[in-house]
Amino acid sequence: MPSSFFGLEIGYSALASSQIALDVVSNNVSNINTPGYARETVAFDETVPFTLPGLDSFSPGQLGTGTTITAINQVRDQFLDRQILAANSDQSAYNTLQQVLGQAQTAFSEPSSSGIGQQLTNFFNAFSNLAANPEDPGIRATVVNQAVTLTNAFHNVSNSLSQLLPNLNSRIQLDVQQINNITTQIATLNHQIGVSIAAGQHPNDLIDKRSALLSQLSGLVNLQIVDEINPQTGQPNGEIDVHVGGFTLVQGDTVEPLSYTSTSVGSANTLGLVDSQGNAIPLLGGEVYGLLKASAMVQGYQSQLDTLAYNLINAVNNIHQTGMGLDGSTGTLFFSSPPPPPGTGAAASISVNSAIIADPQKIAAASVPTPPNPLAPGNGDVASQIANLANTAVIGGATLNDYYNALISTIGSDTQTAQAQANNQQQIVSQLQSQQQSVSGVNMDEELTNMLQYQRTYQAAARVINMADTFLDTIINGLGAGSTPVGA
Amino acid sequence: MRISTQQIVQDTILGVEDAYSRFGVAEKQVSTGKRINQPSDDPVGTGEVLKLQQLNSQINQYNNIIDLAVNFLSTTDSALSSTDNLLQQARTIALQAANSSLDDSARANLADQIGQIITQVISLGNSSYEGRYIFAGQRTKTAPLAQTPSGFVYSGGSAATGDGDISLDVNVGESVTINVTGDQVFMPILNTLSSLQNDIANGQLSTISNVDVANIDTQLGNLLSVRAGVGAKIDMLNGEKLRNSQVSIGNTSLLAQVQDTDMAQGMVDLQTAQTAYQAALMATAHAYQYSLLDFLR
Repeated sequence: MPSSFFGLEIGYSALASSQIALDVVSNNVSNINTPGYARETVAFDETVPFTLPGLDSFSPGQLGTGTTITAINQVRDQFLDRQILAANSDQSAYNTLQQVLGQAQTAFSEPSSSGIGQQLTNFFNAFSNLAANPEDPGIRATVVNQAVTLTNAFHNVSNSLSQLLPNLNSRIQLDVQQINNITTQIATLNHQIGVSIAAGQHPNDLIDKRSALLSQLSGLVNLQIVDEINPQTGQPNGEIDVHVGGFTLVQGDTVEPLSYTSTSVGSANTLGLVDSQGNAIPLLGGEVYGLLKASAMVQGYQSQLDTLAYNLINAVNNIHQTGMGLDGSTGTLFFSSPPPPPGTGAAASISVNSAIIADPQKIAAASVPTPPNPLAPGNGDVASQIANLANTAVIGGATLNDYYNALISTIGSDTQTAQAQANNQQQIVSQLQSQQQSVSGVNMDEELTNMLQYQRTYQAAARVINMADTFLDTIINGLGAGSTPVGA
Repeated sequence: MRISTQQIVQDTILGVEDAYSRFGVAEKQVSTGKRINQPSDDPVGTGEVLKLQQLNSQINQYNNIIDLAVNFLSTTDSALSSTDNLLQQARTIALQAANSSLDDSARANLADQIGQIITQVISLGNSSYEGRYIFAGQRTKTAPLAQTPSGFVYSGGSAATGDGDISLDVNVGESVTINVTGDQVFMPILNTLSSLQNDIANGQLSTISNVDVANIDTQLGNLLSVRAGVGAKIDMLNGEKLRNSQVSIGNTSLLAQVQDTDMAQGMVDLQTAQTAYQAALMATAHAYQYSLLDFLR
């Protein structure tokens, strides 16, 4: 027969287990708003029964000895978690792309009457007026004004675009710092988790923290995560390796820092991620990838704008140099010389020849007269040719306006695509998070119900102890000589 | 499916944000009246809008040039018309002078009148429009006609010197010469009148009736055909301007179709978006009303 105090022990085990269970419920409820928190459940199990079977057993066996909590488990779907990390990277990339392209698009301020497209047309219209009235100083002044307005429009757009690039670069630099920060923390957590699991515990909070860090990291770069396996047991040892584009960021407890290189192309600096040996790391997602891609696209727009300005300058100058101004001057440039081919920086530097601004008489509206003819003030041949550039194929087979319109269309299309992709990806991430919440999220009502359950169990266990106490009281005080009657 | 408490929060927030952003888009389209406010709203449409705006701007410019050309030609025509009147007067004087019953002083008088006519014709030949001599070819800042002791001098541009035509582009690839050069019209007239004046002064009655009058008639015929040409050009240009305006109206209409918000549709969308937003807000308010805590003792 088991010990008299046997019942007490059973009751106590129930009390202790219920208390732990209530503590776990309490933890869940407290962390209901913690992002990245996975709800915990308790695993009740029977304690070792009494007695061990043998030939000399003397009581009916086996007797249950109560309950214990063998583990506090985290409810997590690791596969889902990893899926979300990938989706997160993509979303981050698209969001960044959408944001930057939106800014680039705004720089052009189209469609509007102040955009370069309309200013180009106004410029050619001014020359058309000049062709009809080459002697008129008022019209010459208008040509100069219109040309200056056009060059200002080019400057504005070009400057806005080029101001974007240093911002992008500094963001990339900050992100690289943050990546290295996070990976260091992950390595530390890896170590702690590894130790804890080796000791047979469930380091739920540490895993939650590491999960949150991974989530943050995935927003910056696309990750591949591999669980480390304990070679003796063939089971995961709790530590993870983090790879980016084939390069190992974290391996167990060790960290490889990331760095960036800066290459200059024209007036812009392009950054790229490299490892400690200087090898380039290819990226497919994350904010850094978005920034790099956006930077490349903005530089592309800038270069197309430069091409437009460069071709405008040369086309106008080539014709203008063949003409004669009202003051008899020839070979005058209308625009100051552009940068050398392919014209990088032409949009930022395009300007009307200062000699012309100072003296609009120098604008060559007329063709050079054949001797012995004097200069004919009413001759507007050259001005007419310049005005006709509006309808002439200048860049490839396109007129200047057509080229510009196509550029704007492209920017609009790129931005629209980025927006659509960002929205799409938002849906995907939302759905995945929904599923994740379904598995790991805390439901208030559910926790409160569990709380009721454990509360009642605790109360019942207390009652059982009460009852066991009554038995003991009867045995100790009620049996044998000198006993106190029961109930006295 | 199991729903966590945080999930409900996330869903309501996303729902409200989504409804509000759609409301924002609808509101912008109605208040600006434009469906396309930036290229990403409709990239292809934006390309069309830019192209149409530029086309219309160009058409407008061509119409302005046409206006200038028509005014120039009208000024030309009225100068030529006045010249016609003067020539008619000279013809009348010539017929008078051919009458043998006139005495010397009367004939001297008539010769003077021809002289005055010559001066007026020179003045007409030196007509200007907005500061440019209209009969001087491309040499628009120099008076083309002058009378010197040795004869009449034309110092304007001409076909012979290659600077006679003022040609303006009135449409893509279409240029129109808007002027008449003085050497074509006025020089022959002046020479004819000068001969007439001499003949009157010298009493060459038979030359006057047989040669000078015939010459005047020839010049009148020439003037008529030149004026007909000018008139035809004015008509042609006016027709061109009308066609340009029609194309421009067509472009504007197309522009409106591509770019403008259909107001009726826009208002309906706005109302729908607003209702959706209200519904989202209401759902949010209802989401947190009940929990188990309300029912536990």
